[in-house]
Amino acid sequence: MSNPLFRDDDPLYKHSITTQVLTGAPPDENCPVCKSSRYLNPNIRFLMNPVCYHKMCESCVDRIFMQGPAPCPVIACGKTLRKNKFRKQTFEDVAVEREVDVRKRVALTFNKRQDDFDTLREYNDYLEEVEQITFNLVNKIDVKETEAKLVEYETANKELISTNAARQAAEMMAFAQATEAEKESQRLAREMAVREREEERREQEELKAATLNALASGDKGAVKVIQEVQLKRSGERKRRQADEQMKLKSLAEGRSLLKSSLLAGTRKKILEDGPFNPLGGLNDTNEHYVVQDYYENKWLENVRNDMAAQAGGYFVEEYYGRSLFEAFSGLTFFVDEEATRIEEEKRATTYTDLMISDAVS
Amino acid sequence: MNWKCFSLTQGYILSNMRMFVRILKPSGFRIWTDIAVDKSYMTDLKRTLDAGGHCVLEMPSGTGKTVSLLSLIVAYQQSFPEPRKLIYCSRTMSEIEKALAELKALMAYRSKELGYVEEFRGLGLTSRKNLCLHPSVRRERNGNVVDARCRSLTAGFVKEKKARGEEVEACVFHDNLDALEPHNLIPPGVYTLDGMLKYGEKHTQCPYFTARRMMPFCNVIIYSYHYLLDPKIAERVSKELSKDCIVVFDEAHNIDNVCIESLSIDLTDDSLRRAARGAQNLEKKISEMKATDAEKLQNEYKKLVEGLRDVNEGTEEDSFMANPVLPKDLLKEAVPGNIRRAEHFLAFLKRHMKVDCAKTRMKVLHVISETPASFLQHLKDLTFIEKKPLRFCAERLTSLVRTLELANIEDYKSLQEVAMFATLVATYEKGFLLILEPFESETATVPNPILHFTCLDASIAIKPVFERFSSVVITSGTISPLEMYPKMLQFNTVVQESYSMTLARRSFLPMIVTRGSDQVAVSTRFEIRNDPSVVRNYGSLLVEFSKITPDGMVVFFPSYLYMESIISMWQGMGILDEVWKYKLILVETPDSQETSLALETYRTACCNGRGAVMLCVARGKVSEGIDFDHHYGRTVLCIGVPFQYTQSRILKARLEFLRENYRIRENDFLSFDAMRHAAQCLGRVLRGKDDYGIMVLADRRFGKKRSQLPKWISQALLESDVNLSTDMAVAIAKKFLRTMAQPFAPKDQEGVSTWSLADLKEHQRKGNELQEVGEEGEEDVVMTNITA
Repeated sequence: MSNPLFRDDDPLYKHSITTQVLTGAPPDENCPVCKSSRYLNPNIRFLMNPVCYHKMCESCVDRIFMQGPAPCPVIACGKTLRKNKFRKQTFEDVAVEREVDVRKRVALTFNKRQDDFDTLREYNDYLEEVEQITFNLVNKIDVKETEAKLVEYETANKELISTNAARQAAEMMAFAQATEAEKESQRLAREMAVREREEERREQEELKAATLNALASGDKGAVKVIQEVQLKRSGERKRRQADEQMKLKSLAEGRSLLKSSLLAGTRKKILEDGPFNPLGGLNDTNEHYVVQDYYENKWLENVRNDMAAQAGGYFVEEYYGRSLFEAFSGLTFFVDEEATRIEEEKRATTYTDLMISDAVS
Repeated sequence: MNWKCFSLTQGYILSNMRMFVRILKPSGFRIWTDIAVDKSYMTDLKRTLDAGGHCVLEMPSGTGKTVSLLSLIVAYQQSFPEPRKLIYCSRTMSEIEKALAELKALMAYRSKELGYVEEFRGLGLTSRKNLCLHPSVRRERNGNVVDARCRSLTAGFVKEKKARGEEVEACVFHDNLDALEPHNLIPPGVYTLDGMLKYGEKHTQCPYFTARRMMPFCNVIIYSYHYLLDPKIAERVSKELSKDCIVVFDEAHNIDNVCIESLSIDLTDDSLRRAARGAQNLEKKISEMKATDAEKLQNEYKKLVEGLRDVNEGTEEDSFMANPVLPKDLLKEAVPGNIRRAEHFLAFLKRHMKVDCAKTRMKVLHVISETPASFLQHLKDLTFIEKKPLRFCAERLTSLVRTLELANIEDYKSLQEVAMFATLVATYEKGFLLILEPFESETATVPNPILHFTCLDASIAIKPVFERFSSVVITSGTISPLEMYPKMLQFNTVVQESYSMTLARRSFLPMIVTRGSDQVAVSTRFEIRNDPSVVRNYGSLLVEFSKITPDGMVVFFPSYLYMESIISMWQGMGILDEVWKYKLILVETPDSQETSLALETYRTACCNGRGAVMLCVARGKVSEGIDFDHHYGRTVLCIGVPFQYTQSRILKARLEFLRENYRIRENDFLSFDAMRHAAQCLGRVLRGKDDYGIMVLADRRFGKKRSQLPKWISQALLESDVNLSTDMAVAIAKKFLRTMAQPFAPKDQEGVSTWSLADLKEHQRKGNELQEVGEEGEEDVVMTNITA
């Protein structure tokens, strides 16, 4: 076992070997502090602290660090640890665990992207530099200088770091939502396939029954007619299903397009900000006429001058408006056109709704 | 009349060439080509070649498909001043050898007819293992070891070292090639693989490299599919072939599976461990090299910084591995900075492997399937491995191995696999799936995790072939239904045709047995397949047919598992003892050596009159490559519909993919796949015009699937033979065998199923008379096909 964390003369390492010899359990199955093993305690859980990466069991952590920070119980370590920093190990190998931690830290600072550079060459050079820093930190080469470099870079690029972090977070969010949506559309497609099969089976049965009935009644012509009708119906169904499939597909494509545009960093605002409009943008001003203040009309003059009539809340202007509206309403309205437009709009909104729900995070 | 020739000079079709077919097989059997079939086959083919499109053709086995294909294309080639090259892909080595022999005979016949020898080269290519002459290397049994050892003797750096005067072992056979003219390593002519070996031995030159290097100068190349489809190999071997080549995939009924396999990778715990060991070795080598020859590493680094690639990198014969990604998906830019340095790259690779390990060793006890995108995301979250460097993994590893001048490459096989996996997973988002299976089988309790990276889309691998070459011909004895292939492989056909067979007598008898003698339906449906009544009925079917069949008989089962269980049940019922009275019983096993031994015994038993039954599996080795011609197979019994194992995750994922993207329904695909395998099995017994045999499909479900059989079989399947019980089937078979036993002179066939030149001329005359009227119309058909 060539573990860079432990030297061969590390007491912990030696100890783990001896316990292994004594208990026969593999070293990763017993606690180096209290010596209990999985054999004795099947529910044992091991934790470690990213300060010194020494492993111990949960009960030891509770016992030792209950009162607050305490030195690491492993002999010759003595680093001060806190309970809240203890966590489960993700990798079997502690070295990898540590490397990943270092990487996490470096990646938080060095988060430039390719579009922050003019040429690919510069970007690659940057990547190499970052890798060199990480490598040094991981393998404990020139730690001091490297740390200094890290700090220096951090202070120099504070703003860029934070914007890039924000971008990254947005991307992650979008990705998660996109995967979710993809799963959903897959589920829908699966359901649709089942439905399709079901429908087809039913149709077949119906046809069979109808044909049998027709045959029983001895009408040869009827059989033909039934079969033709059925053929037409199944053709229509197939077309409809193909249509639905296309819809689903285009939806998925739109989603992925949106996702990629988001990932490319050219994120556009999809919803217009504005005051809330309860009518949903519906406007009652008509483009064909303008209501004027005064129209010459003899029988209206009376009302206009009669205070008694107006006292009840009757306004002549109101009357003008209403009559003009009635005169013009529906003049340029064609039912067919409108119907298709509404249909399209509806479809568009459902599509975009879905896409928006993906995108807006 | 041992020779048969015809010159199709018919009207507009074949006006400017002469074509000859020699119909004498080396065995001395006269194999009569079905000219009626051939002619339409050839005209369709010609149409494809002229129009420059792809076609799918189905033609019954044993009717001289290969020879007619070759003769037409060669005649077509030679009629042009600058011949188009023919790339003929077949499946197994024996088929390649057969095709080469046929080509050789054809060329001999052409020169006899023409009166001069044409300048013509036809070569076959197969693996190093089959073509090696080096005294110690050729003795290795494992193909990978042969490859690795050959590389260690022939690699570029070995030569360099030798030039520097260092003491290194090299291969004489390979080195001798350098002394020859590079475009004339072997004189013109057609060489079979055997012939190549003999020539190589005589002139002390390596047959493998001769073939590889002569490929650009050949008129005909015959090799395996993989050289064209597998991007790992194709990039190295077939890169320099020009666009106007004519590509033929013979025996192509399994082509979609070949495509999928070429892009799929399985990782196991074991292979990851070996890869880790390889990485350790590599680390050691790097530190060694740093101490002794740091300059080389520095040079490599500089090259990578500049983004330079070796010009001949891809085609280099001794390169460690090629990029597994298809050429169009290759990123043509410099290797990312964070894996430029050797030690950084190694750390990167190790980290990547750790994640795979973590995945496999997470001790998850349920199956996980995820898309490459989500895998990458996980990877990034866990270990900060970005997509881009992952894409360059394979390339970087190749470069590193070249720099380190590693000789014993077989140690790094697993590492190479991991790198390939990394590159593939980072390149393709669509059409792939990662499946982690913690257990080997449903019932296993000890976890043995496997990480499958499977390609679901067969069209991905074959797409470059269709894009690059103008005429691709896909042909086989059994590729019905034809429209499935263009759908699955995503290409458009100019011609798509299935041919039937003209026979002088009814020489094969297809039957569908749906019930046993006791009228109980027989089926291998999962629920009832172990019912004693079903098993007994299948047993009595076997017994009855082994009684009446002369010589050899072949039985196919849907799976090894079922074969084992049914055999043991038969043993209990005493059925095997009954069969034993009439025939020797031999069984195919997954072990290829055992199987070949069984086959040999089977042949002996058939020849000496004892007779034998071969029990095999419909998807096994026997069902694909082995011919049971003449007395080696008089009856083929297909027990059950050979469906795939439908619970497999990979199959499920593929079915879903097919449904969503190509609108191929699960049921359609499954039954198509089962029927093509059933047809393959049936085709085993009929290998020529003078052959005869009985084909029995024993399952109730075959009744509905009749239409999915190839045209030549379904045409011979009479309505009265579709829904039989065992005793009826036996009675019909007896009658059939009695007619077959009547003397049948080859002369009777002439004019019906085989034509002499005179017959052909007669046909041509009639055709011309008809054609004068319809010529314009037919031209139109061709035109519409082109525009379509």
